[in-house]
Amino acid sequence: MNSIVITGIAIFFAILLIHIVVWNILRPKSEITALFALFIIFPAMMFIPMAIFASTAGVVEITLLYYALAAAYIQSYPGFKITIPSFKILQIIYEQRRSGAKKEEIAEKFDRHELIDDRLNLLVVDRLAIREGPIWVLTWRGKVLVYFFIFFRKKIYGMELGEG
Amino acid sequence: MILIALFAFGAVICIHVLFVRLLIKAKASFSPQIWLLYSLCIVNVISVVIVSRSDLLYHLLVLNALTYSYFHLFNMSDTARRIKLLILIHRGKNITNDNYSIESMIEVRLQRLHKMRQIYQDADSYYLRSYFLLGISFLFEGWKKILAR
Repeated sequence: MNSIVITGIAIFFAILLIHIVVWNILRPKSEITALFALFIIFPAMMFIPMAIFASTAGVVEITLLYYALAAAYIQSYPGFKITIPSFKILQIIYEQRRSGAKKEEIAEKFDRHELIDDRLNLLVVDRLAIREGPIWVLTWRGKVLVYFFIFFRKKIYGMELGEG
Repeated sequence: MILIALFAFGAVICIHVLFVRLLIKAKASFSPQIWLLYSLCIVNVISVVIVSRSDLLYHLLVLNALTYSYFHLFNMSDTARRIKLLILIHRGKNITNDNYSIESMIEVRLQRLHKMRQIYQDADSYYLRSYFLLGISFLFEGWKKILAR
């Protein structure tokens, strides 16, 4: 069992190392696609033949461990691309830890462009919404995402939709 | 071994859903993120008791990594600005300062951090209560530098 754990973790860190080197040398234009290719597709090309042709013990277990770690990293990645507002708020409060930070002082450190306009532009880039004159309209992808989260929050958890 | 790890992950989600539904019914003020952590702790403790020593490390790694991914999915449903904007568009609302202003966005986050016991309010100022999330935020900043961002 220890060899399975060591192998799964070693493969993950090897891919992570490649990721650091590639991102430092040439930053991919579409980072999420590149990340997906590096952490999901590339290892699958190794795991699938191993599972089919080789009699390597524990390939399925190694695959699950690797993908669990890779999924955790990929889910964290958006936080490395942008400044997470809650983290920024905590850092502002930390900087003013003696006197405390007032809500207005925190708001001053944010700008609408970074918080809202950039997010709206990303909806267009990701083809989740389009602008028709003054009105924003969801694409089918956007609708699928909205219905998924409505189902997830309301039907499964019985909660109101998130406040964003 | 794989099935037990996946079953344990499913148990974390079921326990979390149960906790959240009960807390809503009790009209309690709570942080669903913190309760996901409690659900994970419960399943981790049960795992330590019932999973064999030889499989335990593997089991805990898979269980905690999958739950961490699920935490992000849940968090996205709660906090993501993009999802909030998509829902506003879905409801036919214009994206204006009235329904999505910086002030309201900060207010929601301050309330959430307060519920998560990361900050507290004294008069009209906010102070740190815990260094946990702040520490994670510095880790994220450090990792950004490693990725040359």
